[in-house]
Amino acid sequence: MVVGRPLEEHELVERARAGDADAYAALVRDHEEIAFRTAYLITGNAADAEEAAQDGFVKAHGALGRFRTGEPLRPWLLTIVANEARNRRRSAGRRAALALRAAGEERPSGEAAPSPEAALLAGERRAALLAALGRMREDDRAVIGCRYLLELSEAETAAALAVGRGTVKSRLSRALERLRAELGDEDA
Amino acid sequence: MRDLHEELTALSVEWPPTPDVAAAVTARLAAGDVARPARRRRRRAWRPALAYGLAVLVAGFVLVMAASPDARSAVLELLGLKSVKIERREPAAPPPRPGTLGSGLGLGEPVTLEQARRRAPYLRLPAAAGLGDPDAVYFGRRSVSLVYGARAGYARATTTGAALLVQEFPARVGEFIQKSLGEGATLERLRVDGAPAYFIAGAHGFAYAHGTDVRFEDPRLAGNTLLVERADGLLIRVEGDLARNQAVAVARSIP
Repeated sequence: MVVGRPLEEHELVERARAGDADAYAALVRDHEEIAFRTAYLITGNAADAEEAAQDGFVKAHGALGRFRTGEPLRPWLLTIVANEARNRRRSAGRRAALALRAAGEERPSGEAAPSPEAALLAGERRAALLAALGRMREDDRAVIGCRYLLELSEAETAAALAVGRGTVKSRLSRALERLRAELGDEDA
Repeated sequence: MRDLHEELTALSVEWPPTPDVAAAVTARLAAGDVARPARRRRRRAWRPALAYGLAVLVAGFVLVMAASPDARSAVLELLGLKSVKIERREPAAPPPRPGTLGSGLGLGEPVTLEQARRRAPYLRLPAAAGLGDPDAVYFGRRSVSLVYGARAGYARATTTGAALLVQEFPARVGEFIQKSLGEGATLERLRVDGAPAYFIAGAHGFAYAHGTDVRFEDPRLAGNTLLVERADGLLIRVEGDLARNQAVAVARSIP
């Protein structure tokens, strides 16, 4: 076989549909991280998120025939995996607090390096922010998590949460209000 | 007033490490899996998961005993061990393959004691009297196994071909040892230095989960076995033709 350019997503989908296991594995690899993290936002626990991702991708394989060629694959996969995650959360029958930790550094914002004190304060603020987010109800943290932490688009968030885009907008704005209140921030 | 929107945008989160979903999915698809029903949590739906796991590998020669699902779940609840699943059914019993001590048991790669110590920092050697160093050491995907040949006080067991098999598993979430008890085996719950444990007397089936997948390794017939789930996260498994007290003594001698 001649090694050429990497295959486009739609080519991988075609091959996977035709029974090419390697092609499907490549698709899973491309999306497993975002799928796992989305599931984690919903289940609040890595073991359940892993199962949800696995089961989701297995189901998606069986449903490839119904996937509409030309559509983006990621939202379609997220819908399936997030649905698995919700089923798990429901049958677990309890509300799990989401434990998230801030990574060592903020994403670069283009500003000058902060002073050590400012860095410390910022670190505490980040921890408080994530703790508050973890305490929020699932709908709220899922919509904030999808949009800000996972940087999903509005359409992808809608797919993952199984709601319309309008609902994503309104839910997000209400969730941000509640997060502000939780943090004790005043409105400007 | 800080801008929450900007703060959230700048926030970077330490996610749990992404598991190798692609490998697990590929293996499941290759095994002919079509998405098992949700939940593997023991209360409700461990049975379909287990049935699936076993069906793949031991289809045909596992005979599920008459114990009701409720009774079996009750046994699990009672045990309260997080890493172990027990089911009452007749075990499948491929005999151990001949070869060097422990080589047919699927314990992993043979290593020297030094190599095992380097690769598995959690390893602790049992110091029970008369045991000495193991005669063979295996490093597996998630365990270290110490195999002891016959010596004073420890007779060779037919199930393993060794006198004593001690396995140590580091902490892990979820069940990963699955045992099947046939009619001939009895199960006793006990505590070893405060840690939940149980002792299975009589031959029974024994299998590890494979990776993060739900498939199980080939089950084999195991002899008397003590399982101890220590507070430090180490799961210890002691197997041999041993009385309960002797097995407990071996487990206790592990620092």
